Amino acid sequence: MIARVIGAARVIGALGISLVLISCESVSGAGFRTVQGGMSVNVGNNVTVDPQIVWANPFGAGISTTVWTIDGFGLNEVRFLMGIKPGNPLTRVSGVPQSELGSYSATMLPNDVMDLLASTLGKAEFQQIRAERLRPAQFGAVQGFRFDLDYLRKSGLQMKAMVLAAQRGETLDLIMFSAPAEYYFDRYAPTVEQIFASVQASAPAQARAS
Amino acid sequence: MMRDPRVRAGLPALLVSLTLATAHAAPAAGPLPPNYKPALDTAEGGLWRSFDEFEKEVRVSPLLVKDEALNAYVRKIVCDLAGPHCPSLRVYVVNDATSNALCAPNGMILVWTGLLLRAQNEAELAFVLGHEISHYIKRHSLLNFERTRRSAGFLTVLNVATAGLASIGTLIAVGALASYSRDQEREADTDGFELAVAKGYDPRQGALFWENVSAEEDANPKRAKPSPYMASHPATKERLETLNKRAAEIESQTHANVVGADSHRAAIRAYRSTWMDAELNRGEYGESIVMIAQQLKAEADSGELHYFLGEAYRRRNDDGDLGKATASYQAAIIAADVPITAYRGLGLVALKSGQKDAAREAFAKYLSLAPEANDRAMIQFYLVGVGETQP
Repeated sequence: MIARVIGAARVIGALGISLVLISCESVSGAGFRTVQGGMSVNVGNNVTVDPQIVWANPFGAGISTTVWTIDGFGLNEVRFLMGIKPGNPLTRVSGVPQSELGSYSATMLPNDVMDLLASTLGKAEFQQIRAERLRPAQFGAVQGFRFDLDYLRKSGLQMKAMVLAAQRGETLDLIMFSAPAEYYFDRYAPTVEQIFASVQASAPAQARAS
Repeated sequence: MMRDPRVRAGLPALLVSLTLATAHAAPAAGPLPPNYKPALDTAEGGLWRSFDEFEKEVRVSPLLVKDEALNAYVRKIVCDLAGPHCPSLRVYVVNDATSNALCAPNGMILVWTGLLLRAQNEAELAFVLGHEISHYIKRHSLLNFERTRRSAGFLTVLNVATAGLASIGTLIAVGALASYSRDQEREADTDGFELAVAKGYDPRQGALFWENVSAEEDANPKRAKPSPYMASHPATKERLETLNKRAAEIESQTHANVVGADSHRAAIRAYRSTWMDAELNRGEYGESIVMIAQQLKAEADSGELHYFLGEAYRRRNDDGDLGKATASYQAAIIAADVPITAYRGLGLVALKSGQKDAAREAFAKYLSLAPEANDRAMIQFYLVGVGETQP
């Protein structure tokens, strides 16, 4: 009996940790739909990508960020943080007031964006965060940049991540793929490279509106 | 014990076992005798057994720092302080930028690297560890467990038992059981102080540590909740006055004057840069700036500390911070132990300030010193942006 309770606690605990970065206050009423490869999918701020493979896409009240997962929240997921406006954090972090999160500024350099993401992960209580290999990269036809991350979850699970981002007009678009370092990251990294290469960005929504 | 309020909501389900194991609970009395092992059918035995189970997971956690020399350094301080209790205590260094430490009722001591980074010398660390060991010797956790178990609060605690068992952070949640009373804190202050002074540590260092941590907290008015450390150990006026008063009394009676700044720096030298990176990734730059500035008072010629102070200012980027960052980086590059990345920092700040010539010079210097830098392509891109034709 006790073993069963502990086992359940492990599962629930793991889920709680994976939800920590989700930019939603509640996932009640949430569901999953699929996104298919071979088609152009709008991921926000007038950016489209080709998913390449089938992903699960959670949706529902309170979910404001596009996330594609393979095995569930926090596992092998691509997170699209699109159209981040100056003064806003990159994402919400469960249990952390927005005032305690760093915010984006249009005057930031790519180094600053990388540091901001690292400290945002730090607020989510990830440990031993290392961001490196910052380099220029194409974001569709736009000049962008890439960097890599590794970190430990509070549970001790070693994670790796790769990021493609671009500052377009006043806004920031950031796509992050994260997965356990052991096996899963390397398994899906080539697919995510193809997703990154498929980015097509038209004028950012905010810029067009103005 | 220092609690992390962020994880108090999640208690491990193994606490369920505590309720079962403590059905025949009897109140504990008096301090622990050395080499003590409680009977398994007592409340204390159940509490110990639960923490023993936790400790098995701690031992294999990837969050532990396994370096034998570093562990031996902390273990020696613990053993010196604990005297006859030493064989019952086991030390684990946890790689976590939070400033924290705890001594579980079964003798498991966890020391967070954020605490090792903040302690400026061996004496400061000894006063904190002495405080935690005193909670252990006086069985404060058991007393609190007994009290909590009898209250409705414990049932609430069990109902929200959802945290991952493998998480060391969850251990802190267990600390919710040991929300020490003001009297228990006073007792641990007094006893820990006496343990440290008995080993010759400078009695003034105890209050200095609390004052420094308090100054860090004051530098962060945006923080909605106190840090884990301060949540359970407020540096109240009373606490500081008591420690300072006792230090003055002791100074007139003894010659306790061991500070151990060099030994502490030597023990953490190989890790300080990594821990500083982790400190900055907490995103509490105001606190980091105060902490690093405090350390610079004792190590004014440390290029490493000047560099990280520059990084903290650059990353915070409040009004006037870029100028302070530049000054810090410039102090770093004239130090004997200049980190090469100080030139990159100088370049970034110059670029943001529109000083193209200065940016070009700093970036070029950085690449000349670190031609294999993993961000070389980005720096070359910046160089093109400031008019360098052949970066």
